[in-house]
Amino acid sequence: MKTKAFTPWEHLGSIIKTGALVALLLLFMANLGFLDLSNLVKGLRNSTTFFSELLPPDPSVTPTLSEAMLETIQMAFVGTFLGFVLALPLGILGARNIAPLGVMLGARAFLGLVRSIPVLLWALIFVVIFGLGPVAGTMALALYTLSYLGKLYYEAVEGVNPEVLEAVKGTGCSRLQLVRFAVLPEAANSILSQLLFMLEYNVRSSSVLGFVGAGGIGFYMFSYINIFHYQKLMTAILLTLMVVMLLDFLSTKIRDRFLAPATATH
Amino acid sequence: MAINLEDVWVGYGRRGSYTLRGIDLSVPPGGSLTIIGPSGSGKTTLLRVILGFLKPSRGKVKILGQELDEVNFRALRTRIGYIPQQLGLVNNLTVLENALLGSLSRVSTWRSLLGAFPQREIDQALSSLECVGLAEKVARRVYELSGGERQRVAIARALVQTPDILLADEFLSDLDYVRAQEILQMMKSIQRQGQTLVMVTHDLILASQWGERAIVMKDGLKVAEVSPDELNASNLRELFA
Repeated sequence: MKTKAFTPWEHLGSIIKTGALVALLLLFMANLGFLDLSNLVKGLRNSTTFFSELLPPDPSVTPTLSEAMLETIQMAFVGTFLGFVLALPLGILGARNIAPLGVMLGARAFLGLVRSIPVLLWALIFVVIFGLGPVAGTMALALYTLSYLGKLYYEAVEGVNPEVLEAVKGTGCSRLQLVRFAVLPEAANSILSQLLFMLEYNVRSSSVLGFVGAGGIGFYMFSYINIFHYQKLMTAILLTLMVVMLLDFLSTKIRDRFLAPATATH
Repeated sequence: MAINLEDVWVGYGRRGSYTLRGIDLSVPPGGSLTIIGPSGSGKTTLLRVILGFLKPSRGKVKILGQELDEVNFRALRTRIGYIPQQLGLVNNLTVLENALLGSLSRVSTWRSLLGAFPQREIDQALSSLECVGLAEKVARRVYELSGGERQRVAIARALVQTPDILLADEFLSDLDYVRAQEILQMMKSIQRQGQTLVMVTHDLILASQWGERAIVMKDGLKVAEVSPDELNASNLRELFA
């Protein structure tokens, strides 16, 4: 097949747009200090020192960190569960193809409001309410999970094949029956995948929550950074990595066990 | 009349753009009708109007003697079975659970939410599945079935609903000839039980073998109403010219 020769003037509009985008990117980078060479060289030198001080990991803190990791996992698990229990109904109520307009807008506004506050800020708020410790961290994770899963769930529900919904509606079922027998089974792949992803995400996230005194392994990470015990920090990082990888493996097994293949047709 | 449409128009989008234009149609109880026409002729739209999923811009629709805009849609839907083109099966449910969906309107919401269907409904679903030759596969998930088996699950679901009217939209289009004939025979035996059947198809051979009457559609208009044996290529060429 004969291909047409590339003629720059025919693509002038696209070239100008791409050029403008690149210029904007460079401008922002310059403003942020990314084009300051001396700073970059200094950063490179510091990072080499930092990474060399991370190794080898210090195994002496493993028992303490394992206990903290267990607390982190518990926080992530409880936080994810509480968030999920609230996110599922709110996700259904926020779906255009299921809920009446007023209810849908209300559910979305609530989820948007909760989502607009970052998890670290939620943790600080709950530290004020419940004091330092894992309860504050768990509550922050629950709200974070609720806001994100809620949004992902209404999108998943809206993605359900409309023909399946119509076929089940056609039996004369009630709205709740429609949700139970068409929406939930059809969206199950997304619901479970996103739930497992959220659990994994919350394990990592709850590490950060320790920085504001909300419990878990993050508390130790923050302390090791403050007192320059980088080898102990490395042990904490490796432990977190192991748990995340284990969760990823378990997620895959659960998906394979319970879910329909993505290629299944309607 | 089981289905009675008078001068039904359905408009979409731009002003004056109609997908159904002045359709008159009546099907007696226990009767059977084939709707045939090329893609985009308004066949599915007509079916959706009968189902109550689409409100006509003007005209009257009476289903089982009730005007569509005056009846409770849910109550009406319990009396109309529907097999959509892509079947509308729920993939993550088993064959039995899909068949049981046909009984939802008769089972209390809370009971069904717990999955505690009355034994008589389970028995009826099992007997419908046996009738369509799927008794051995009741515990299989729908996504594990072949195309022909999936069609039969959709028929079983409609049978469990025991509707007065059964509407089927091009649901044989993905099947080979032998399998389509098998399903067609099944539909004929359903009709002998007194249900009103309406089938949409663009397959001339299938249309000529089935139903007591056929309407031919083109560009949203009913261009002819004929008996199935009058459906042949030369007649249709004339109608579509």
